[in-house]
Amino acid sequence: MTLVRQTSPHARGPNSTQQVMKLVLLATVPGLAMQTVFFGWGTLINLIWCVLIALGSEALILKIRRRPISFYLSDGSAIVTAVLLALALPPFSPWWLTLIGVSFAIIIGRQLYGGLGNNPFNPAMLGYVLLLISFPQEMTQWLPPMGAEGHTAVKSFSDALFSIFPLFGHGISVDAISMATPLDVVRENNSLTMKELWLENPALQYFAGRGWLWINLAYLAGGLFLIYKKVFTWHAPVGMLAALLVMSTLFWGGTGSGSHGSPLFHLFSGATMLGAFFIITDPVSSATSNKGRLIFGAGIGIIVYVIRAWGGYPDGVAFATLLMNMAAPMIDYYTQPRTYGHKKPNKGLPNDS
Amino acid sequence: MNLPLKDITESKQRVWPLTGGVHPEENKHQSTSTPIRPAPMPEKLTLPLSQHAGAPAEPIVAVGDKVLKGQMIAKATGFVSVPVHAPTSGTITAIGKEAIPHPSGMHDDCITLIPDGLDQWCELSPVKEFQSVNPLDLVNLIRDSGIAGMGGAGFPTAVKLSPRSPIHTLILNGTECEPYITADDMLMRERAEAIVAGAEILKYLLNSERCLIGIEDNKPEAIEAVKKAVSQSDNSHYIKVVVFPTKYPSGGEKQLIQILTGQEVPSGKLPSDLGIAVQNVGTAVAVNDAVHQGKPLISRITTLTGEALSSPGNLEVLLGTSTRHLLKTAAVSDQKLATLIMGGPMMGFTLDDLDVPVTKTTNCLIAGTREEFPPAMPAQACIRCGMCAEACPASLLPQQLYWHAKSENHEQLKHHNLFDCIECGACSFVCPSSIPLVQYYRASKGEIRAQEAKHAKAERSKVRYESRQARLEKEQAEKEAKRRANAERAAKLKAAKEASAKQDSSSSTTAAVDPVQAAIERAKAKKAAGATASKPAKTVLSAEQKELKIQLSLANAQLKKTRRALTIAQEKGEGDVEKLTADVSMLETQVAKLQKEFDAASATEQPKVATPDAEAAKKLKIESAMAKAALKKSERALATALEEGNSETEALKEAVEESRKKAEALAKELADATTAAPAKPAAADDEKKLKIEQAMAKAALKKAERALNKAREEGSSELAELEKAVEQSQKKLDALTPAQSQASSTNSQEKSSDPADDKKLKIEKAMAKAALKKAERELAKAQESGSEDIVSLESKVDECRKKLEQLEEGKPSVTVTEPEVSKAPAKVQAGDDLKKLKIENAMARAAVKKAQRALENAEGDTSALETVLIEAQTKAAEAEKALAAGS
Repeated sequence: MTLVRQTSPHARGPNSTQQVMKLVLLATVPGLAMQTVFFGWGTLINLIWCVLIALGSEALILKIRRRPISFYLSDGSAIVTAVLLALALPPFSPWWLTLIGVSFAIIIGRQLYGGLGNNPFNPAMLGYVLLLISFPQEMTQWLPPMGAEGHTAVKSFSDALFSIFPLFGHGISVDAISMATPLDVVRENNSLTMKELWLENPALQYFAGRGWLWINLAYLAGGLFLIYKKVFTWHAPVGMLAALLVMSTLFWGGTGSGSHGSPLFHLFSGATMLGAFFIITDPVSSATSNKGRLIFGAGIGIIVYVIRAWGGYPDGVAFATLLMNMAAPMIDYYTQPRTYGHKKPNKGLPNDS
Repeated sequence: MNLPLKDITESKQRVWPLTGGVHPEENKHQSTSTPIRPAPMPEKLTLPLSQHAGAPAEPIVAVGDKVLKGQMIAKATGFVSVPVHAPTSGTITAIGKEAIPHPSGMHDDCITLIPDGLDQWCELSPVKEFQSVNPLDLVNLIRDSGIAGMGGAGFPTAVKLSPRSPIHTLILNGTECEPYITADDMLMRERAEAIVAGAEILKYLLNSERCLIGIEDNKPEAIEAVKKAVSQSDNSHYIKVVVFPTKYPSGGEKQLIQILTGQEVPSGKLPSDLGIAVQNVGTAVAVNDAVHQGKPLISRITTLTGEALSSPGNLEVLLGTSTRHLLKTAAVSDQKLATLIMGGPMMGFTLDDLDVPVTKTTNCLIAGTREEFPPAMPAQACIRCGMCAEACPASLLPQQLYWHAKSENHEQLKHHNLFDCIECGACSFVCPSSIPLVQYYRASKGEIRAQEAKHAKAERSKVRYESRQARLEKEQAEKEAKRRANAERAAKLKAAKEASAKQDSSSSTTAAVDPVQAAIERAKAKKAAGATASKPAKTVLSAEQKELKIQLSLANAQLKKTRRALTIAQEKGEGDVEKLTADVSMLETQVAKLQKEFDAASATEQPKVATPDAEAAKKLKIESAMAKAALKKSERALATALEEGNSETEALKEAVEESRKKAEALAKELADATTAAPAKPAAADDEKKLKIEQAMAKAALKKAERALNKAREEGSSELAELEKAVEQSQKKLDALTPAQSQASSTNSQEKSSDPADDKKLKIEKAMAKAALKKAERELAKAQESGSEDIVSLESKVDECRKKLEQLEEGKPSVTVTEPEVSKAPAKVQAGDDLKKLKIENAMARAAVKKAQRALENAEGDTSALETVLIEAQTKAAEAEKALAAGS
């Protein structure tokens, strides 16, 4: 009889990285469902395609790096990256666009830095920004949502499949039916009052975008579920949403033609909720202490609004996330919590204090 | 006895939440279904001498002794130590290394006792009315009863009962937050009265205002029992049972204080600094048994649990019982047993030897199956999820610590307060990537400690080096003065000689043709010059002065030692401070007196040999050295103050600055004085001068060696310095010897027939031999003591040997050229040898005497001195024998 020798603790909790990733994937389901309902099968097809590319790229690099493939693939983190990127892409993105984006995210964004846990940037957003800069036309082709004119064209599954993979047949002409997103509409407007704009434009409904309101609400629900499950703390999402709320209130500009849109419009349009609960909560590339995450989130909220209101892109979650990723190590240095038995927390680098 | 100010039973006791924490599966029910039962008497008891934190106990029994139950078999050594008692009557069969319960699986000194089955108690002397006994006597009784913290750390209870600041709150820890363990739970259920009685004694000893008994809310029966016992006690007005939510690690001392008082123990401080003392409930029972029944700590409650046992439960176990015996008692299944943990599953350690004994700190033995404690999963990448930070009871950032531990960034680790980690394991428990975080922290702590020890050592060496430098400068100054005096004498002598030579030559100019005669005369003159030259070197420090100096330095050393002891005592607030203070003042007066005497003696001596100028320079040098020493002292004081975060650092810094200024000023003055001092006398006779220098160097060497020997005897910390000094002197001497021999060889080339040269060579050879012997002896000693200087000593031995060989080569050439004197050397050599033997004999005897004196004076570690004495005695005997044979 040989007894096991190992160091304490001998008891282990039920947590596992795999479990964390599964919960994240589960929480995206409502948002995914809403996106499919409003924009057709394209999102779902994209998602499956993204996952396949991600697993393939990850396996390829792991093989080159001579790492155990199944051990690393089974943590599910590559799938999460792929799913998040798929949810951010326009529904009928061509297959090659997705291929470039996802393989870049996995290979350059993750594996070249040393794999999971070592990437300084959010890989999904890195892939997204690469595509947005390189292929602006394809990346802004959003379809008419359910309830808007022209939506019937995007309802068919085969149309969606052939639009994405034209190799097997002919899809619809995405160019012909694509329309601006609500954020674009408000940004480009300089003649109509808000009330007129909402009445005239089919992309807008209630106080936010048509369909986008429901999609955002679905992501909000998924995010709250994750907080309840203690996958992450409330700090980063609250920081981002609060900062966005404050910015959009301060620079609202009323209901005239010069308005930047109401605070509610900003909170429930574009990628706000997806970003707040699924993108910026990526623990690897964000700040690590609770206080740091609050600051990290607030920084993103501010930058998102700045890009939306005065920048050159309709939405800014991806850029804001990458910018704050860069600031995360510094935030960490200045947001150490106060240790038990200490009067105040340590700040800065070891030699500063 | 002070009555408490207010009755606390009625006031509602607030509890504060624990920071962080986790909820591991409790697994406590398995071992609480049966009452505590006594473990059957084992065939053998193995009692480690170190079952507690602190110095191990020292056996006071011998193999073969019959002992009674409760008899002390090993005594405490020092303040932080406790004795060991025989758990039952029987025979001591062995005292030696045995496997002990330790994470490393190490072996340590143990006493093995074979029970005789009679279980016969020794005579017990219970205290009837503890309130009428002096608290100090009670604390001593508790120490003599061998009580150490029963919660797991095993810190001697008597030490905790002698706090450095007044205690207002006594906390009894009945938390038992670790899963599986139920020893305290069952103890509280079954012996609540003893706990309360123990609390009363502890409260009396600490003179605290109140006593809180903290229990987690997952032990309702225990809470009920203790509350009942408190209400039935006469002292229920100051004892309060506080119940708080179950969460690991609430039972950590710091965590429990936070929960019960809302206060945090400042980093690097002790609970007593907050006026709080925490004792385990098991310790309270042990104190109760020791005081009310007179029973020493010979058994404890140990939980036996785990899925590999078919009858788990709590056993009253005699200390020293092997785990194998206990597992058998609890019906272990050998097939199922895969992991054996001593302690809890969160902070306990695995055992791989079933024959380790139960000690005073063994609260639990978990015989786990493979399913219960599966082998650790391979660690995945850290995703910085922060679950560890949420779980950390110390509010650390385990994910950052892990990152920095992996990159061995010690600065960052310290910046992230690694040393505030209590190693509770909560972070590892929650980590979704199964990273063994605590293991990383333990390894890093070890590395940092090792590195800091290395730095401290380097710092000490630096200080040593500096003081050596100062001393060498002082010596150099003394030497300079001596040399000048000698040169003057030599010049005078030369003048006289020249005058006489003139007379001679004027009286008989034709007679001075015989070269042999001239050579003899020259040798005579040389000898005379040598004699006069070496004499002043001795008279510079007369016998009286020397004696005074030795006494002075001894007194100084004693004073220093006592002062250090005093500061330590004051810091710890323990030991006999008053006596030490008195000692210090006495020594100070003694030193002052000696200094005065020495000064007086040197004042009467100095003018004879030193010119006023040189004297001033010497004084300056002494002053400068003293200033430097003062500077160093204040620097050291500053360093310790900084380390301890003392408030006086500012003042000390100023003092250091002041000392430094003074030292610098003096050094400058000194430099001016020495440059202004008269230039060296004109090189009269180079060879002569060299010889004088050599003689002086020899004297210095001898002195240094003597000092070194003394230091060795006393085990002084300056040993390395002194060894270096000896080496330096030796080197200098070596440097001078070739120069001299060169000088004399030029001489002997002219007059190779000079018999004095031959003699000189022989003397040199004898000296070289002696040096070689000495060096070899030193080397042997160094090798014995494992000194670091072995290499340098070896090279020295080689050097000496080489020199001797050279000399031997030189000698025959002389004997060949001078056959007529070749017979004489044998006789001379024999005479020389005899003389040497005599000297050796005398020296050996002196060494014996000195060693005896040192032994008489020594208090602490006499064993080293005893060996020195024995060595010296054998050496003396040898020398005597050799002398007898020689004469």
